[in-house]
Amino acid sequence: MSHAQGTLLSLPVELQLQIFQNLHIQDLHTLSQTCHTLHKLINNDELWKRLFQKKYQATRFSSFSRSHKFAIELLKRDDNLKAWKRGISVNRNSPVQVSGVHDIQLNYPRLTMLTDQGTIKALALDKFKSKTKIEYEVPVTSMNGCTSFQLGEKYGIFGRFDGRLFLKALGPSKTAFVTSVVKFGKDHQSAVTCVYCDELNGVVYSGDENGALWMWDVKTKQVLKEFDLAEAQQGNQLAAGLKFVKGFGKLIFVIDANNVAFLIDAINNEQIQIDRLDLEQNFETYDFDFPSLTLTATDIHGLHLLQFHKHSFGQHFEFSVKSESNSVALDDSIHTIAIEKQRPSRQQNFRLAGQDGRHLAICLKSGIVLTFNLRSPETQNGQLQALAVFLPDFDSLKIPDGVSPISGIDVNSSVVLVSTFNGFAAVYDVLTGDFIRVISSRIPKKYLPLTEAPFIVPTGVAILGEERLGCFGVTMTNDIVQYFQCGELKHRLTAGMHGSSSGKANVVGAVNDMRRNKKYHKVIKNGIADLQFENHQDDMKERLVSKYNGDSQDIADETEELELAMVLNQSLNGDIGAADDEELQMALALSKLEFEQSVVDDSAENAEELQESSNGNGEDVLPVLDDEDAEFQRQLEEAMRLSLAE
Amino acid sequence: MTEKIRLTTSDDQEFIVERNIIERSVLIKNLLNDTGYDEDSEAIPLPNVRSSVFKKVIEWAEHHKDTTFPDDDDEDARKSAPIDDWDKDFLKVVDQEMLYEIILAANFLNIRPLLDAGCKTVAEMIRGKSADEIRRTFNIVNDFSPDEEEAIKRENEWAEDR
Repeated sequence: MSHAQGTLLSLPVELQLQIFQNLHIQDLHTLSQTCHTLHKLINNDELWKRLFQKKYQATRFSSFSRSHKFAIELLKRDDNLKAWKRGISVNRNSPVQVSGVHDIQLNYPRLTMLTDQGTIKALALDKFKSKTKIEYEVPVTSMNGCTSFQLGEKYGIFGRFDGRLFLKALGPSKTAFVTSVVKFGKDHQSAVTCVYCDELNGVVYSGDENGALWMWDVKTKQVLKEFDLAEAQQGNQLAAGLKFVKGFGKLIFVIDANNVAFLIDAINNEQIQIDRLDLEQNFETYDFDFPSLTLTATDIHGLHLLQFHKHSFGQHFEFSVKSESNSVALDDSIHTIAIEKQRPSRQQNFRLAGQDGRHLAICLKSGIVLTFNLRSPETQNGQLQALAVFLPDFDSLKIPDGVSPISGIDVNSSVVLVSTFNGFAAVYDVLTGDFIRVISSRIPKKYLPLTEAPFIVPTGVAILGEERLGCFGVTMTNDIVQYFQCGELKHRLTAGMHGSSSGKANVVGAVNDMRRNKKYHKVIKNGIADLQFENHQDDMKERLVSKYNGDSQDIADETEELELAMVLNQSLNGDIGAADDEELQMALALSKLEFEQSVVDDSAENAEELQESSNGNGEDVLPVLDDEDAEFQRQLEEAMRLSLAE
Repeated sequence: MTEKIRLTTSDDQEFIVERNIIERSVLIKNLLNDTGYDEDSEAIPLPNVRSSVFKKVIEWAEHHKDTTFPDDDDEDARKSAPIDDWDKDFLKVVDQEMLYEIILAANFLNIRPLLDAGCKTVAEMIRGKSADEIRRTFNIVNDFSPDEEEAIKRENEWAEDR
C-alpha cells in the first residue's frame, strides 16, 4: 500500500480503526463505498473481532445486534452502553399492593403480576406515576390449589390439584385482558404438576402427578397428543409424576419425579423419538434452551449445564461453589439465577458475531455475580468458566448478617441488572462485569412502611425490558414497584416479535410514549404540547381507522379504553364517561357477562366439591371478597378521577 | 520551582518544557520515572515528531495542565465524552496533514485525551457525508468500477435493520 504522506489512508491501520469506531454504522458503510482499501479494511471482520475481544474479552456471547459482522456488533453494543450510561433517566416509584407475587411478566407497556389472591394485576408502565393505580385486576384462579402456572406474554396457564387446566388471555390487545378465564377441553386424572405455553407455535404442554404428558392446541383448547412416558422407562418402572416441562413445537423436554429427563421429538404420529437421561439428583431450578438443547439446572451448591444434543448427549458442565479452584468462599451458595430472555427459535445461528450465545447470571449469597454463556460452556480446571465475575458495591447499604444483599437479578445480551431488598439497583456489563450505572440508590423514605422492622424480609424482583426497545426495566421490593428508563425508547411501530396483530395496539403505546417523553424530558408550562399531541393522536387514529377498514376496536384511545375496561369489568352501573366506541362497549359488556357466568358456574361446581370432600380447601376460581371488592372499587374510582382530571 | 525537561524533535530542534506539562505524555512520564532525569542528562530524542507538530502538542498540554481527564481504563467514558470545545477549535484550524501528524504524535507519546480528540475530529469529518463527499474531503481516488460500486451499496448487512 502506498498512500501519499499526510492522508487518512497513510495512518496506521490501528489508528484508522480507532477513528472509525467513533462512527455510526451508516457512515461506516458509506466509507466502505469510497475505495478498495477502505472497503477491505471495514469488511475485515477478523480485525473488528480482535477489537471486540480487546474490549470485551469474549468471542462467544449473546449477540446484541443479531448481525454477522463484528464491526456492527461492536458499534451497536457501544451505542447501547452509551445509552445506559448517559441516557436521561426516568425513574419512578409507586407503592402497589403486590405482596405475594408468584410470577411476573414485563411486556412493554404492561407489567403483569400473578398475585397471592389469585388475580392478575396489570400496570401500565407508559403512564407510570407516583400515584399509579392498578390498570386492571382480573381474578384468574385461587392460588390455593393451583399446583402449576405460567405467565407468558399472551397467555397465563394454570393447572390445578384436581386436574383442571385454565387459560387466561393477557394480550396482545387490551381487550384480551378483560376476557374471561377459559377451561381446557379435558381434565387430567391427577394434579397438574407442570405447565408450559409455547406462544410462538400456539402449543400448551401439561404434565400431571401420574406421569401423563399432554400437548394442547392453544386456540381450540383440545388435546393434540398424549404421551406415555412409562413406556420410555422400558416398562420396568411405574410412571413418575412430572415436575418440569418445556416445549418448542413438537419438541418437548420433561423431567419426572425420579429425576429422569426426557427429550421427546414428536415428528409425527407414527414416529416419536425419546431420549432419556438420568439426572441422578434433584435440582431447585430448571430451564431448557431449545436452540442448543441444553438444560440449565441449579441447586444451592452449583450451576449445571447438561447437553442433549446428539453429538454431545449427556455432557455435563458444572460450576460448583464448593470447588477449591475458584475464588469463591467455600461457604457461599447460589442465591438466584437469571437466564436471558430471547426470541424463541429452534436453531442456533452460528453465523452471528459471537455465535448466537445466550447469557445467564447467577448471584451468590455473598453478593458476587457471575455471568456465563450457556450455549458455549467452557471449562477451566474442571469448572465452568464465567464470562465475568463481579461484586456490586453495596458499601453504603446496611445489610444484616446472613442476608443476601441481592434480591433480584436479570440479564440480557448486554447488561446485568441487580437490585437489593432495600431499593438499590445498578447495571453492569455482562461481558466484562464493569460497572455501568446506578439506577436507584434506595427506596425513598416516604414509601417505607411506618413500623420499621429490624429488617425487611428480602424479597424482590428485577426485570430488564426488551433490549431492542431501549434501556429500561422494573425492580420490585416490598410493595414498591420502580420503573426506570435510560434514554428514549424506540417506538415499536414495526414490532416483529408479536407479529402484525399487535402492531395496532403498539401504535397507541408508542404515541403515549411520545407524550410521556415530552412531559418528563422538558418542562412544559402549559398545555400546548398536550394539545398538539391530542391532534397528532387523532390524526394517527384516523389514519389507522381508514387503514384497517374502520376496525377501531384495538386502536380506541387508550385512556378511554382503560376507563371502559375498568368500569365494565367491575361494575356495570359505573359511569361510562367519554365512551364513544359502541363496538368496544359491546365486546367488553359481553366479556363481562361471560366472566360472571363462569364465576357463577365455577362457584356452583365448587360448592358441590366442597360437600363431597371432607377437607374443604378446594376453593376455586376466585369469588372476589366483599371488602376487597369495595377497596378495589374505591381505587378504581380514584384512578378514574385522576385520569379524567388529567 | 518546576523541573525543566529538554527534548529534541526529529528536525533537531531543542525544546525546554516544564516537567508537569510534558508528563501528559505517559511515554515521557514513564521514561522520566524509570531513568531519573536531571539537569545534566542529555535531551530526550523524539525521532518521530517534527518540531511544528511538537509545538502544537505542547500548546495543547499547556492549555490542559489543570484538566482532569476520565480514567484511561474507562474506555467508555472516554469514548462517549463529547470533544472539549477548546480542543475542537484547536484541531479545526490545523490542516489535515497536521491533524494526522498530531494523532500520530499523540499515539507515539501516549497522550490518550489528545489522541481521542484527534480521532473524534476525523470521525466528525466523515459523519453524515456521501461517498463522493468523503472522497473529496480525504482525497481518496475512487478505484471501483460502477458495477462494483452498485454491489457494495447493496450490501444489506450494513442496512440499519432495527
